[in-house]
Amino acid sequence: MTIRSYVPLTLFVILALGAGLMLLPAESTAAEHAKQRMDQLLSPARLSPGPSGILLVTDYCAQAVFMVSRTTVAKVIRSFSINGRPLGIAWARGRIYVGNETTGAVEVYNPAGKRMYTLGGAPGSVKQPSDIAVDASRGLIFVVDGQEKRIRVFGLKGPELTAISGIGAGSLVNPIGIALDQTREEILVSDYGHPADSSDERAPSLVHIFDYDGNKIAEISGSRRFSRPQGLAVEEGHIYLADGMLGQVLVLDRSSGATVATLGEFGTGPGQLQLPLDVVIDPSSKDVYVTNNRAARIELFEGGGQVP
Amino acid sequence: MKRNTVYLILVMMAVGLGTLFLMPREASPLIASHECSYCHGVHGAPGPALLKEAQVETLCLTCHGPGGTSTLKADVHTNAARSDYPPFRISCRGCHDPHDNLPNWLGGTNIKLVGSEQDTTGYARITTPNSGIRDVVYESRGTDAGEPSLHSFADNDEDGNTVYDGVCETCHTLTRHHHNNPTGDHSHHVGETCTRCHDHLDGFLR
Repeated sequence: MTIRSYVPLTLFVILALGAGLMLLPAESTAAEHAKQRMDQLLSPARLSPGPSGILLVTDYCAQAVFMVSRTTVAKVIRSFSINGRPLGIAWARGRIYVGNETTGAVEVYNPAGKRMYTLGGAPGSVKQPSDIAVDASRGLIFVVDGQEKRIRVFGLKGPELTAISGIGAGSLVNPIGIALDQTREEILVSDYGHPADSSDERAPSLVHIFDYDGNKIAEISGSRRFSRPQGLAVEEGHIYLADGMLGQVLVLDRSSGATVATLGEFGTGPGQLQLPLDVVIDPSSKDVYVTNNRAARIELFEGGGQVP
Repeated sequence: MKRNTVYLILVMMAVGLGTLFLMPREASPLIASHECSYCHGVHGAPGPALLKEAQVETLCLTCHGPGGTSTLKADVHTNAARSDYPPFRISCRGCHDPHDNLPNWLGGTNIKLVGSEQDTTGYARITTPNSGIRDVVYESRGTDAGEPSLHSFADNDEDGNTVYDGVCETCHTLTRHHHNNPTGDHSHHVGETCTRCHDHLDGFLR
């Protein structure tokens, strides 16, 4: 065969390929968004210390877990998708615990983003896993179940510890965030209270303090100080509480409940907060990290955990 | 005697006018799910005076956004990646009146606080980016346990009144489907609820 005899066949193949490309569906906007979402934060919600030098962030709208550098919080190191809307997050013994609001479960992932197992059995068992805290040394995972209005307690491997689970049942009104004071063996839970009554004394927003057996030992009222308390952290006798409405992190004295300092202010500029949802404090550097939801970034307050 | 009568009438008219113009308007009856103090702190309110749009949006999202207590989650409406519109950002109050459900121009009452009072008619209306102030109808027609019928998202002029007044289409002029006029394609997924794919939590983007 001569070269000329190949020309019609070549033209046919080129035309067929061209037609095929034309018939392929255009790349969907969903796919575009998916790409964007894995590169940058869209709606950061809860925070947790992760492996060395890394913070773990759930992103509610991107439906993903992001790993960001503690030193350059704008840098996303890695991310993986969650099938649903993630809220609470914690890290212990090489596992990432993620509260999935859509599936109603606490899912356990390895650092590569592979789902390993689910706490508490079938999906739907934790109605609204709003926040998670881990005491790795005692092998305990505490989960805020916002709809059940109680704190569920699990072992690291999955079984619910029914003897102590259900902390706060009957006293929590709208629980949101959780933190542990492992030295004192205390559980701190932020609570919206009843939204209609948050400005008076009937059911104000609160920080409840329980011992590990579930006995309530103290509470700090938000009346006339905070109304939409979100995530919180504990550091050297102080409670750091993000308030979504105020656009601030309040620093409360653990004993008296008094507000001793604030971090940030409402706004969209650098260092300003709009709908802050969680707080993490680096115990060595005292740097404070805050999820700044509407600004879609992590805010770093260097040395903010050092109260004068 | 006559002078006294005229004087009395004048006084009564003045009192009447004063009542009309000087007294605060009676607060509308609130929907069952929202009470005043959800958003307004009368004494010692910890937040700012709720005057700026960003603060109102934040206030809404403290319950309806991530980490909020409501099961009805939402986000603001912005451009899709390949939008033909110039950049826009429709916040909560662009479509919702947080104070009450309003009557609509067809004689029903909207649900989900859709539409707000834009003029003296008192009907639920929306100030659209490209089409001025338009009527909006978003109501339960008893088709799905109190949920709005599909035509309340995209009316598709099913009632033949030549007004495309569903809550989604009332603004749309450059979308691929369901404009607020007869142009374009009105056959896109007719019979389905728009938010089943275009989730409010994703800003109605897909």
